[in-house]
Amino acid sequence: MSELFHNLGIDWKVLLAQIVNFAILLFVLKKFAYKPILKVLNDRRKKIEEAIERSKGVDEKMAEIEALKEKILVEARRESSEIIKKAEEAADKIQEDALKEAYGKSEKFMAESLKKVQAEREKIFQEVKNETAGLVYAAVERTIGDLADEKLKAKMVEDALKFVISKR
Amino acid sequence: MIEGVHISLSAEKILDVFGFPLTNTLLTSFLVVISLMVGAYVLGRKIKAIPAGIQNAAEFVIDGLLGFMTTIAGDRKTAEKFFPIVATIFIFVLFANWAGIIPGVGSIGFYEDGKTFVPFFRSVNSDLNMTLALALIAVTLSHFFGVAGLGAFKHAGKFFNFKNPIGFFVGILEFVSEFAKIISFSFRLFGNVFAGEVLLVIITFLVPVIAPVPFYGLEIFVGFIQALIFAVLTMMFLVVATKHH
Repeated sequence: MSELFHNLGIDWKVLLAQIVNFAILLFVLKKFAYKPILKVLNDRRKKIEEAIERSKGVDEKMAEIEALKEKILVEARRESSEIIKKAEEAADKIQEDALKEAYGKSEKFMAESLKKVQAEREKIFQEVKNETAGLVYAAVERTIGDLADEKLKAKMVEDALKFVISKR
Repeated sequence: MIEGVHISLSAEKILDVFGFPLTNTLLTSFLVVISLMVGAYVLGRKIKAIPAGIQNAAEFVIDGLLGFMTTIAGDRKTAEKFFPIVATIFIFVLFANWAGIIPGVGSIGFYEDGKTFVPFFRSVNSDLNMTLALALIAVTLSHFFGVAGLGAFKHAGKFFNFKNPIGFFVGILEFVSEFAKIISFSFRLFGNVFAGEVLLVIITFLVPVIAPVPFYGLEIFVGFIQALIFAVLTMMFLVVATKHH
């Protein structure tokens, strides 16, 4: 066995030295290379994860805000259209009222003036009647005053008035 | 013609330091380890949250390796737990293999007794001491984590099962396979790197210029693949050893 080891060049002292060598290298690399670099790498990974998480949160917030904005806009639009509708309705009513009032006034005015005109006409007519009666009586008096009695005179005036009334 | 090529299966001794044989592979291994440590120290001192320069490269390597190991371990937590061991194996084997291709390694040396050529540097993993050391570390650690993760009794139960005959034989197979693991681990790496060295020596001996270039490229690739295989297998053994059955 030891012959075989010797032929293969195996020497336990050298072997041990190599093991120690490797152990020292392992220790130094672990302390100066792996630990700090892995720490930096893991920290960076964590940071990136956090940043992604945060940006996700921001996106969600943005979507929420967008939705809220949309909602508010819809509400506002609805309200404004309602207000406009109401205002239009009110304006229509006012116009209608004004129109109605104006109609009422003008009708009343027309009726009054018509009444006035009729009264005037009646008055004029009465005057014409009286005048006619006076005129007819005077004419009868003057022409056939001596011949006619009071009864005839009255009848002639009445006939003349009848004629006037019929011409009305 | 081939007599001019000297190939030694074992690493050559350069010096004898108080009975300790300083071989050329050990010397090369020292240099690789020291360079990696200095590199790690220089890098580790100025790690910043926002990477710049060499930190980018280091992060790329470590992150890539960790991602790859996560696919093997199944989850990132396990991968991170075993990462230092596996990554050190990968980085050390990789740089050791690549250092073996640097011009001067295997060609600068001296003549012992004025006859046999002894290079100062030799590819680290073309020495069974190194690969066996790595294999022992990997397998021992897998048992260590097995005991730590499952408890000594349960871990031993994988190999010594007296509940039923099938379990008993499976246990024996598992037990034997632990030794097979050590041998396959060490000889795979040793064989690949040593063969590469021999190939380069022979090609360079036959046609010194141009011809070795594609083989150098091949060795760079093989060096990477072997480092990756060693690291992946270690990871798998560690994961399997700590898993409940």
